[in-house]
Amino acid sequence: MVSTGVEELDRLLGGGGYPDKSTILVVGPSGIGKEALGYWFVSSGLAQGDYCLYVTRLAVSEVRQDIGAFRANGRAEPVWIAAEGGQVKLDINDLVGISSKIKEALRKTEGRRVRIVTDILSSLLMLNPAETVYRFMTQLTAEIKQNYDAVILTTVEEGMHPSQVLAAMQQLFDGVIELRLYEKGLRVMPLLRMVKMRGIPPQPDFFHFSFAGGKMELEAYA
Amino acid sequence: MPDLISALALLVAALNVGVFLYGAYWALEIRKALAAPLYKRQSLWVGVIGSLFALFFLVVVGLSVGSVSDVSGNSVATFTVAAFIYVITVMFFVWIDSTMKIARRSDPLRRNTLRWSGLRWFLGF
Repeated sequence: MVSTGVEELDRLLGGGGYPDKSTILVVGPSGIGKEALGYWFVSSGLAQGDYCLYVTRLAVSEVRQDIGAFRANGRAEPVWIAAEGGQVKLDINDLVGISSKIKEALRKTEGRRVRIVTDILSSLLMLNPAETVYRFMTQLTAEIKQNYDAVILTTVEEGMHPSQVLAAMQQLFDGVIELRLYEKGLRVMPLLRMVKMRGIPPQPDFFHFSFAGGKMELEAYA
Repeated sequence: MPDLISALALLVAALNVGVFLYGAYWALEIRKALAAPLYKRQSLWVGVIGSLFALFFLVVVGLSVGSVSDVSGNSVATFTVAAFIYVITVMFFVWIDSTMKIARRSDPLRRNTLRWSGLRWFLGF
């Protein structure tokens, strides 16, 4: 098991975190804080000496700005493949280039466990036919999992893609975490649900989450 | 007949106050549930502008109910109106700016729509 970096989420996942050699999809609307799960995952990996790779369609400064809002410390420095400011420049139009840049970066792992966080999936789905993206993700993740002790966490925007595309995409991943805004009376609250996770029975319960004191807090929601 | 039209206009203005306040409330409520600063900022400004529209219609109602004297010769009143218009203009720009930033963030190619970053710089934002 690989720690998620969020104690309460680790507990929810049976004590250890994400399954070894797995692919995790975090689905949720824009602005809800999907990046937080990615950041704490990377942060925890760096603390444990894992090789951490952050593949983003944004500039590094934009990701850091988002991360700052979760009041997490910004000292964690993964290897960045980013549109601007990273060690390697990302061209979102070049699927083959993205794949080869990720593989190239992974040659430097020196036998360490690998954690990859990426937010490029929504952009890829907007720029390419869904079938092309399915094939790209399947081949890339299979190859990475075959050659490395790696966990890949991918975020995708809810509401930007047809529901059948998202449903099909969820089938490609070992675990799916859903974040959503829920209206209750005159209040709106952010909720988290474990849609599926390899090796763990389905959990239909929702959890209310919040960010406080550099931590993500989860609370069972009836 | 003019009384009926005035009453209807008053009713529409009063309804508008309710609609804009309702929209502003939800924008600010959604803001509380969001985490990313860019999106929080946009919800804040949608809430502020919604409240502003509500205030505008409230003033319309107030002016319709009360009697208004001509303020064109009053320099204090003229200054107040000019300052109010300036503040409103700045608020509108900040609101549009927050939306443009989201639009750019949502664009997979991160295009600088209408060369917005240049315009922000030009206007000193």
